[in-house]
Amino acid sequence: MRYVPPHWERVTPHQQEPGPFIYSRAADFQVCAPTQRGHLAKSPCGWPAATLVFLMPVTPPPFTHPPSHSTLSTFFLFFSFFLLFLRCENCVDMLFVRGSGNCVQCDTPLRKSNFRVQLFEDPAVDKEVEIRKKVLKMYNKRHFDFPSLRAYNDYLEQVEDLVYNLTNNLDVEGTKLMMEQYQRENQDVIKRNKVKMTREQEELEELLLLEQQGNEQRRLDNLQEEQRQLQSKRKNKQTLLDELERSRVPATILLAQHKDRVAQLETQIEKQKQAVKTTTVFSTGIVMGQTVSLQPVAKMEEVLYRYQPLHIETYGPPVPELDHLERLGPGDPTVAAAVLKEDFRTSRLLSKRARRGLGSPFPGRYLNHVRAAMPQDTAGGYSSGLACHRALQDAFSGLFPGQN
Amino acid sequence: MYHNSSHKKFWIFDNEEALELLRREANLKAHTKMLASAKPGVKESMLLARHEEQVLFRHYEKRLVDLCNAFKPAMPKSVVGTANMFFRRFYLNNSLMEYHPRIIMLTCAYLSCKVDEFNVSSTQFVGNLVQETPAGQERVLEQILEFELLLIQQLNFHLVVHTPYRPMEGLLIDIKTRYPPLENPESLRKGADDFLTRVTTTDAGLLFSPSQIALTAILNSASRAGLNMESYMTECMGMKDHRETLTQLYDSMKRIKKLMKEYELPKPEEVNAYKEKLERIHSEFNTATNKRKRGYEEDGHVAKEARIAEEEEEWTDEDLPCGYSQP
Repeated sequence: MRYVPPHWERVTPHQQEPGPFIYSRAADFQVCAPTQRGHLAKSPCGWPAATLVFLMPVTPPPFTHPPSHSTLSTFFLFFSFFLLFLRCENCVDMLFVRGSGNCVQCDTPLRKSNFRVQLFEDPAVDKEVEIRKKVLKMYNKRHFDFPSLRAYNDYLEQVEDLVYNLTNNLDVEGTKLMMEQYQRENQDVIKRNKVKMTREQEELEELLLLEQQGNEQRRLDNLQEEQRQLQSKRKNKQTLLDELERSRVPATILLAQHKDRVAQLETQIEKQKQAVKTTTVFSTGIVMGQTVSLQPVAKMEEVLYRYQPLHIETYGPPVPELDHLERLGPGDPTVAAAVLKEDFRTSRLLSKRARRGLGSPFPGRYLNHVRAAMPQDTAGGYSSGLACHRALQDAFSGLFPGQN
Repeated sequence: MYHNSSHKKFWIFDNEEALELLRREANLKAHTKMLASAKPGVKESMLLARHEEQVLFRHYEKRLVDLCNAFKPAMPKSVVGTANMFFRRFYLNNSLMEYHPRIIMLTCAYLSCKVDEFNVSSTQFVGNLVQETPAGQERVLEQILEFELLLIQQLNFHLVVHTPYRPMEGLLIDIKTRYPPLENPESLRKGADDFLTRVTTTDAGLLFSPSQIALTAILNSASRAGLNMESYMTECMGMKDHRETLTQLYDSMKRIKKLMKEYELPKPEEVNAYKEKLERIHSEFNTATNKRKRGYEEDGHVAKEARIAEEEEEWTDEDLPCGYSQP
């Protein structure tokens, strides 16, 4: 028997470099290497698209080699494996152009149908799955075939033992004998269970089919409904156009009617949708929309934001607005009136004079009494109004005693 | 702006008694602390009483103003006002016996230069202490930097001081704009400026808002020139319908003027006597000032120590620079 490395030493096929042909560690029955290696070395592709598991009947050590038909009972054909990992699907195809061939070394007939695509990363798992499938075909008793739970559990344990032994090559012969014996003894039960299982399987499939049909039906219904809605909408529009063309009623009324109709239609659709919704129930049986959580969701009391103009208490007389400094002082009554009336003529006059480099014609203008900003000052955004406003603010802020 | 400043919130007091109470408390605290901690032989009489402290405070305040006026480059008035206010606020809660006013006043001036955006470097600042040798100036600078943080902390980090100078400008602008009856408002400026200079050395800044002080200055100047500005108050300020406010305002103006009348320069002989006392206290009690300084010098200035001690004596004798500016 070959050395079986522990699992941590095992290398999964995908980690291996393309190149030399490598068998999986699971292929520890017998290696049928030379031909395949030579063949694969010539393989045009460097790395496989899929790894294949090659299952082939092999002669167990006590039997003659090559195996004779007498020793190869059906049982052994089923349960002796030779696992071989080929790197490339194409190569396998080429190997078995005719559908089957013989092993060059041992002349064992190999069939292409015995190749399996490897499903799991660890080939040992693949092997075990394969073995389990076969074992369970025979060991298909269920718990009501046993008098007690204990007996059933023992039976399951036994099955696991068998699978384990076969997977790990422990006492393969004994195991196989045991299985043969079991088969012989329980032929009736196996057959009966097989039939039962197939029947159950059929029932299950029928159920699935029904469900699928239901889904399909519902989908179709939905589609139809949508179509109908679209059509009615289109019709609505068409009628509107027709009416507009023919009728003598004013267009506004027609439009209003049309709007009404559209609204009606919409509510109808909405209703239908809701009707559909209310009938839907979760597969678990919980009605949709029903709150499952025991605690009621806390309601948030929200108040809409309302703008309130900023009010600043300055503890002093009111300060003139920054914009008004440029224009007129509020001291002069005529001037104050002009400001209040947003007098365009006055402001136009002021801007004209400003363009000519003249000051305001009115005496009461705050900015007349501040140093004008130099052009170089204005580059940074400074204006004489700023300084003036600040001085005024400071002058009036906190002027009234007893209020602070 | 003043109306929502820390100045209004924390540093305006109701009346003169409140200020006096705080200062008395600070004095008392210093007394108890020194009597408790000091060596035997200390008598109450050695310490400064409240009125003695007040005299010294006046003296050092005068020195501070003189230093600022003699400062080169010329210091804006608002910086002087801020420095003065810092000094006042600091000694509201601290005693002169705890922290020597000589160094505190320099620190106040230095800090106010920074706060009021009057840009002078630290060497330039101590360069104004003309009576000091360069080494002495360096030492003073070290002390200033050492006390700066303490000062800021004692000011409760309220560093913005609203001085009455800008309000005065604002009022002048307003008068020019809205009060045509007054023919030459610029003529009021000189009197108002003088008033504001004198008012900085009173407690008015701790009792009244800067705008009130500015208005008082202008009205005072006007009344000296024989002008009546009653109508400005009623018409332009909109106080026609608020007689009560107006009377209150007049009342506070009277109080400001009274404060200024009460101010008198400390007598030189008194000052000298109390200064001696103060020096003794500071040298004997190894107060915070000295301890701190020593600790600092031990760090790495040991070589300098002897020389420094010598110089310190020299410096203590005749206080600070202002002699040079006074003709």
